[in-house]
Amino acid sequence: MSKQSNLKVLLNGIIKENPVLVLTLGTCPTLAVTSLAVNGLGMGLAATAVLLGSNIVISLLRKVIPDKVRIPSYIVIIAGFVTVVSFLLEAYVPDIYEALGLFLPLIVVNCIILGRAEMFANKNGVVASACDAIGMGLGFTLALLCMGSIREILGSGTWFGLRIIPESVQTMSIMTLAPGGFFVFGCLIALVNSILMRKGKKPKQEIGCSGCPMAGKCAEAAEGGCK
Amino acid sequence: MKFVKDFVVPVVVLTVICVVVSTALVFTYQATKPIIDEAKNAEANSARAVVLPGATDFEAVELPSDIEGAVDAYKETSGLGYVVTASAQGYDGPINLMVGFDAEGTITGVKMLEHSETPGFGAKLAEDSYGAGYVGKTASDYTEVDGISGATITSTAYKKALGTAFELYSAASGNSVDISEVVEEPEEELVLYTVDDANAALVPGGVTKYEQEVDKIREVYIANDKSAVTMVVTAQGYHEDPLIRLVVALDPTGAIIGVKPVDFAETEGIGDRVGKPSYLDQYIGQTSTDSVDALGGATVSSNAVKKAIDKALDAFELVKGELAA
Repeated sequence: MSKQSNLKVLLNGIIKENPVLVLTLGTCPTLAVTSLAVNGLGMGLAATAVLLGSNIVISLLRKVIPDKVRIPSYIVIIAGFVTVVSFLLEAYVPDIYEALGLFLPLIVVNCIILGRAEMFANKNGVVASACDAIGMGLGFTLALLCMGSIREILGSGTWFGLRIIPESVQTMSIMTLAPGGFFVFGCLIALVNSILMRKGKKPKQEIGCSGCPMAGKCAEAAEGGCK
Repeated sequence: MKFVKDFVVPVVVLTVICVVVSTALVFTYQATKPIIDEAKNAEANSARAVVLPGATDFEAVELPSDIEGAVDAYKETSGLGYVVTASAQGYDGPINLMVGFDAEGTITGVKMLEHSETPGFGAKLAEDSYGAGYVGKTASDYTEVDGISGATITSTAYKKALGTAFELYSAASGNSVDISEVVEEPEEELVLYTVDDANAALVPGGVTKYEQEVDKIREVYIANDKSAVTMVVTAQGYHEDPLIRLVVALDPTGAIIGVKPVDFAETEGIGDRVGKPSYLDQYIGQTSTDSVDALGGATVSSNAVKKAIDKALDAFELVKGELAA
C-alpha cells in the first residue's frame, strides 16, 4: 500500500469511520467509563494500545492462522494484550486502573478490537493494519474524551479535575449518571452525522443490512472473498 | 493431507498462540509484580500513617491468638510507634478501629474503618473529629473521653475496641499497660409515672387540682405556692389507642419545668425512646417546642409529644393569671 492510502486509513477512523460515533461499536465501555474526562482518555489509550498490538500481531499471523480457529486465536491474542496493558496500568497508573475497574478486562470483548481484527488486520499488511489501529484507536479515544469532557464539565463542573464552573452553580449531576451518558452519546452521533452530511456523505437511512454503518466495509470485504 | 489441514493445523496453531501469549504474560507479570506490590504496600502504609503521623514503613507483628477483637498490628520500622486494628460489636454489626500509638503507648490517631451504625447517631463516632478527641490519651485515661449522647451503645463499643487496641499495642510492643475498664452504661429505661407521682416529681411543693377545665384540658394542677402549673395532655402517637399522655409542668414565665410520661405505649426500641428522660428532658427550660428535634426513626412519636406539649403551652396563656408572677 502506498503512503497516501495509509494516511487515509489512519484518518478514516477519526471521523468518517469513527468506531463509536459512526460504526457504533464499543458502546458499553463508552457509556460506562466516560463520567470523567480522564477516565475516557485512559480507557481510549488503553484500548488503542491493545488495538495496535493485536492488529499488528494478527496482521503478521494472517497467513498462519487457519480460518477455522481465527476467532479463538484473535481472542487469545487480544486477551494477552489486555492483560499486559492492565498489569502495566496497575503498576504505573493505579488511579486509572482503579477507575476503569471491570471495563479494563472487558476490553477483551470490545467489539472494536475484534471488529478491526476481523475486518481489517487479517486482510491487510502490517503497516496498514498499524495505521488502521492508530486511526481507530484515536477515533475511539477522541470520542471518549469528548463524551467524558462534556459529562464532566456539565455534571461535576470540572475538567480533568480542574474547576471550570464555579462551585456556586448547581451542576447537572444526571450527566455523570447513565442517562447523561445516553444524552451525550446521542447528541454526539447527531453532530457527527451532520458533519458527514455537510461533506456530502449522507448517513444511511435504510433499516437492514444495507443500512448498517459497516455495510461499505462489508461489501468491500465480500469482493475480497469474505466467507 | 486434508485431515492434517482441517484438524491438525488449526489445533497446533491455536496451541502455539496460547503458549506464546501465556509466556508473554508470565514475563509481564514477573516484571510488574514488584512494582504493583510496592504501590499496594505504599497505599496501605499511607493509610496507616493517617493515625501515626510521620510514619513511613510498617512491618506486620505476630499476635497472640487469645485477644478478642484483634484484627492486625503493625510496627513502624523506625520505632516511631505501632498501628493496630481492633474490632468490637457495635449497635448494628462490628465496628473496626485503626489506632496509632507512639512508642510509649499514647494514642496518636484513631480512624473508624468500617461500621454500619445508624446515620446521625452511632455514625457520628465514625467522623474523624470524634476520633481526634482521643489523641494524646493513654490506657489509663481513654475512658474519660465523652461518648456521643443518643449513641450509647456505639460509644461503649468504640471504647471497647480501643481497650482491645491497647491490648494489641501491649502485645506488639512488649510493654505492659494497665488498661482501664470500660464501664457499660446501663440502657435507659422508659419509666411511666402516675399523674400524682409526676406532679410530685415536677413540683416538690405539692399541687392542688384546678377546678375548671382549661382549653379542653381536664386535669390542671396549680402548685400550692403558685410557682408552677402542671397539665395532663394527650396526643395520638404511633398507635391509635392508647393515646400518649404526658404531665407537663410550666413555671410562671411559661418555660417548661419538666415533662413526664403517664401513658406511653409506643413501639419498643423505636418510638418509646421518645418517652425516655434523655429525650423529654430536652424540653426543660423551653418556651416553645420548635427547638427540640424529632428523634430519627421515631418521627411520629416525637411529633405526638410535640403536639401534646403545644397543647399545654397554648392552655398556659389561660391559667397564667393563677400563678404568682
